[in-house]
Amino acid sequence: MSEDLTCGELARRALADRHQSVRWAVARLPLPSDLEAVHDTRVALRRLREALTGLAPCLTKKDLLLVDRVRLGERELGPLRDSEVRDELLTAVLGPVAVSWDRSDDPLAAAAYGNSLLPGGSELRSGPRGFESEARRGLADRLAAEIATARNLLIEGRGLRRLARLAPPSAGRLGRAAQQPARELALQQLPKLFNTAARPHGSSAQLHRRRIRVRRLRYRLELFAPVLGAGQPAVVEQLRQLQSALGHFHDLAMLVEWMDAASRSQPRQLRPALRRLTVRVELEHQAAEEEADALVRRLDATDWWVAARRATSA
Amino acid sequence: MTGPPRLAAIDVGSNTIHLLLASCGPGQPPRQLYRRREFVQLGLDVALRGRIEEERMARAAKTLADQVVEARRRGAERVAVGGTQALRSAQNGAEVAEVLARSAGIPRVVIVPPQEEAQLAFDGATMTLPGPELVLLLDIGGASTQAALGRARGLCSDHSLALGSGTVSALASGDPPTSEEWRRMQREVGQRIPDLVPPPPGTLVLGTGGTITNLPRILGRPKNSSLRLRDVEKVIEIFREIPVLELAQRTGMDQERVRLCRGGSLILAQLMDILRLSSVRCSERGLRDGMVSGLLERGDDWWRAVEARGAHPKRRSGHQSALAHV
Repeated sequence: MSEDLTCGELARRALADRHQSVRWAVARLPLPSDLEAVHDTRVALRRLREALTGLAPCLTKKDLLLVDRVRLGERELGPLRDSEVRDELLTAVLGPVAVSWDRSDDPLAAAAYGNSLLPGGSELRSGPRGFESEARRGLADRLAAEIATARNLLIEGRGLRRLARLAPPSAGRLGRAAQQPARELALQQLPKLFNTAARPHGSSAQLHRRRIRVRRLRYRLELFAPVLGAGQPAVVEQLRQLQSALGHFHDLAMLVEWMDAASRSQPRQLRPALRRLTVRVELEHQAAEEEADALVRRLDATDWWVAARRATSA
Repeated sequence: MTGPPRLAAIDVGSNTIHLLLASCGPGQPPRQLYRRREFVQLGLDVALRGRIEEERMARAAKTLADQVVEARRRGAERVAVGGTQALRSAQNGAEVAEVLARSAGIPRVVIVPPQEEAQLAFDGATMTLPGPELVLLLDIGGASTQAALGRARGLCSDHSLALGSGTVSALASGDPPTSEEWRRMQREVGQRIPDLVPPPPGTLVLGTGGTITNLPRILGRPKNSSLRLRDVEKVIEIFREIPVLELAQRTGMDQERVRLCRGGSLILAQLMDILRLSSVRCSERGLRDGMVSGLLERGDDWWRAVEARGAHPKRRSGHQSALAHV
């Protein structure tokens, strides 16, 4: 721990490190085989933004303008990352499915193959539960199209260029508070962040907001890691687990919303099966919410937040 | 009164109390003369509290008494009264049946077991079919649903679900229901309907019950028209967008019936998908016709014995459902 580290020195190190992470991640974006590139870029951007916000007192106005550009970059990655997450979750909950153009068991194309569900047809290839296979593939196809569109927009449009041109923060010219001890700045900021992250939740929506506050706290703790107490890594690890559980619950909620909307554009014959698939995701969502809720309540019940705050400032 | 004898059947259901008066000529299926239906919604109390409350019991007693008087006034020689899922599942079902019978001045209100209900509906729905073809009958009631498979006018194998239009619709109070309420209804239906084996190709698929017979009206078609899965889905889309009052005005249906059809349409769509049915032909006949027919052929003693499980003369005891997925 470097207790005598100034804000200026911390800013130089942290911003350079985070900006470098963004550049590495952005360079991977055009590679379709790199399945983690979008996620990593988004995380790198968030960490950079959090560092800029946390170190704002010692940064120039010009550097602070970067916050908006970083936020814009995060937004541009949003649709692609959201689609990727949906795809991962659908595979995890409903099982994998091939996206293909072989439509021999698709009820809409089945007339060409002879399908008893259509007038004049003969036999229908049986599936596990009604049209579930077809409905599942309908979702996969839609997601594949969404991912392709979002990727094209990002790569071919201005999004990627904007991200690649993201200027590094001007670490040489710092604001007035540059000489302030970084530990002092950390101890000014962290209590409030701990308090908001520890604010109890009563509903699913509040639990979701708590996830964002937990994430902000975690990134800020990581930012100030060089000047914090020995308990910091353990606290960050606990927050990471918490954020992961809360994120899973939130992603499943978003997936249910998406499936609901996606079902409406699917052929009517597939909709009962789509509703059953949605129910399966909803059950998973319920389980994830219970798990996340239990985890947070367990921490709340043990005054963990107070202890964690003490451990990081000791 | 001269002419063929007149018999009446009253079904004390979860949504309605429904009277059918029919004239029964020799060797002919009963001819429907008069129908009367009141929404009493016994099933709502059962769904909310597990029992039928005094107020609703009193309303049901008055409705039933009026219907019995009406049936007799119109010449019914015998009246069979049967209670279905609401009376079966209410904690005080037997007590309510006694109260209803006393107030209507009839020997008893028979609580019909689910298998018997399925068989009676099957008898009613298939009685006018020409040959012994294979028939699948879907009967969506207020608190239970039966899928019955068999040869027309013969023994059927059934699968009964404690899930009906009333129990599902009760999960939504919004008008139209919110997305969250639709999800709740979908969850209920999706989880409660098990795997069922589709019927063999060529099976005639019939549907009965308030939901199935009324859904075509939402699409502007005559009551009892055939329904394809895509039609049912179109109706569901309409239910998601349009409030009950507007639909009732547009179609001439009771508001209560429209509300109940919301839940019933979700059940029907799931059954059609799981059973892989391309369309369902609505049957004008069902449970009450089966009751009248049984009463005519087998008399009062048979009707009173229906309550004892397996009393149907066609039914073998311990008969296993051919529809249930092994």
